[in-house]
Amino acid sequence: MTSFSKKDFMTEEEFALIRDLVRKEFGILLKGDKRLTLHTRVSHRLGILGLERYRDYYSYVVSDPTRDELFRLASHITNNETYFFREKAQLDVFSGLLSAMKRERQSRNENVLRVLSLACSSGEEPYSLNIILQENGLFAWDWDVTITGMDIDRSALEKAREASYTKNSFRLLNGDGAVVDKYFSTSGDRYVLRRPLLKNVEFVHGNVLEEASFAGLHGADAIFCRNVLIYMSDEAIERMVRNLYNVLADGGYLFIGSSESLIQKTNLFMPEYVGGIIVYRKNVSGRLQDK
Amino acid sequence: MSEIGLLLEKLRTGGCWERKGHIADLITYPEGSYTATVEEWLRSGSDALLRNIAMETYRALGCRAHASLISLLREGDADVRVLAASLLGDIGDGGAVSRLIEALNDDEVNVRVAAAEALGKTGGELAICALADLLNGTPWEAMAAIEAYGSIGGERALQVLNQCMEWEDYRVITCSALGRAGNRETLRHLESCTAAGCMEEPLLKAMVQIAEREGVRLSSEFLSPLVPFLMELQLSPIDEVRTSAFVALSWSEDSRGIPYFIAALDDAELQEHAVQGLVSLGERAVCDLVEALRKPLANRVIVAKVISMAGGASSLLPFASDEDPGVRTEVALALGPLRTPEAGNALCALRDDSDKEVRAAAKNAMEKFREGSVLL
Repeated sequence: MTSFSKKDFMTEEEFALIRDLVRKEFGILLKGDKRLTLHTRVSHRLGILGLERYRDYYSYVVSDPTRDELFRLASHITNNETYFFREKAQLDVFSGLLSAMKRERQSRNENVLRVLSLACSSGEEPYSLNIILQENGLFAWDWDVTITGMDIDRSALEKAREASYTKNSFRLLNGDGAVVDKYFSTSGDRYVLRRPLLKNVEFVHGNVLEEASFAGLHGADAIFCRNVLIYMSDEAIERMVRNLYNVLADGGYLFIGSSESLIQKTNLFMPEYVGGIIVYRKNVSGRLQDK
Repeated sequence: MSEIGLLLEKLRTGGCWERKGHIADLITYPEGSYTATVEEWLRSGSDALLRNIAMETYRALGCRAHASLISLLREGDADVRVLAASLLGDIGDGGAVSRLIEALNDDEVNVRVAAAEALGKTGGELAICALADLLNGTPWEAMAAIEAYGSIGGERALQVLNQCMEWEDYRVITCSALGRAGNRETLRHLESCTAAGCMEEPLLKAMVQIAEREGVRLSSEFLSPLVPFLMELQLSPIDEVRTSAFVALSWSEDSRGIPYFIAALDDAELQEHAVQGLVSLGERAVCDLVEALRKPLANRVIVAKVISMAGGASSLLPFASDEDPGVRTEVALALGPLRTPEAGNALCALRDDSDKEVRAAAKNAMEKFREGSVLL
């Protein structure tokens, strides 16, 4: 048996430094003593940077003028683990709502569809959404469709743009090779997304808490922001929700993680029960009332 | 109509989305000019909406509502007295404690219960003695008093709660109160009065809650006979029960917990305890972890890290050519301290990896490998 103390991996003071930093910068809340969790998610960065102690890593992060390491830290803490067709029930509902979205756009004589995938990490979610759009076929002709993935981790976005994955990214498909064969080519042990699937997906670097990150993205028909709220303080959620409210089109849909809820956190969005899951719609009358 | 009159009218007739704003505007005026109306609304038993508006207004007023609410404690209608007591509790200011203590002798049981609950939120030492009489009252009064003791906390409240544990009928609610108020001494008391191998869900929840708050663990000797029970509770439909049992399992240092710990590495709420459970088991957990790493699952990188933390770095050698660069990075970092020829060869190969982070990790690990010092 190994006798250990959490101190062997990270001192309380070091934990407090990092906890306070990510709370201040991103509203990420590390409740309780999460030293081991933090160590499992971040320690490799120390190894890669050749640093011995978290105190040194903290100094490195706060003195990095590009803030890249700070963004990377936040990304690792919030678990950038993702895979294709994650929480499939929600994606099925999205697929089912596409007809309504198309009608809504056509009623305004528009042929534009905009979907946002926030905290998209290495791109599995936006590409899954694109595959759904392709399979659905509703937006095939004369439609200007863009799926925008946003993340704070530039290295994750680099991977997203490469669109090259391992089989672990397909673990939910349970051996359903048809989708993989149709949309991916293989290169060694990598699965590379076929080029046509890349052209209407773009990636931007941004922080969901910063209004400026959403410049040019207003009028989105659907926003996916899943498994983000669980890490955030109430104040950060309030900030983020305001941004989402401003970015989503009035008739649009917001999808958050199935274990997350906005009920009693805001009146800017109203829950709606669709196909067995909860989606959120803008509460247009609540526009100025949420204090 | 005056501005206050207009605001009251808007409050009465407006929608729920605007209400918060109207109340905020209203309370900028001296309360004496509108509390009579708000009192009337609270009395309007047939109109639940109006009552709610009154309650929201009182809460927003905070201690400025004391005079009005204290006068309502003498109202003829018991429902109004209940609401007044509850609101004084919600406002939470200690200024109404003596009036709430008086309300513990109200003729109506619901008022006494509401006063006890309110004292739980506002009371202090003063309330502790006053609440004692309720323990001999109706079950509702006794339970309200126990809850209040749990909220008030402190040595004297804990003494009472320890005695309440003897009452079978109130054991569950006493456990809940102790969970909130208990300290290390409480934990020792509960441990000593629990028969070996016997545990109830509420007691387990309370003990885990106290231990976590106090930054201590229940001993593995105490938990060991309970492991089958803790495993059974992993199927509980109640989240809190499952979580408490999981935390206790992670302290048990029992290898029967390994499958649960590995499954929970993907659970943001439980991951900390899962890692703790696995690292506490050390090399006994490595075999199962390696088996898990061979499968496609979430957080393989974390599994690789935990193998290293549990003392199984050498078991990571076969994963030096894993398809996931995150896993290869962890392998590189784990191999540095091993200083075996196999580790050295693997590190050499990883220095030429296609992924730049793996290369950087391998380079740093190789330096440590040569220096003979220990990497993370």
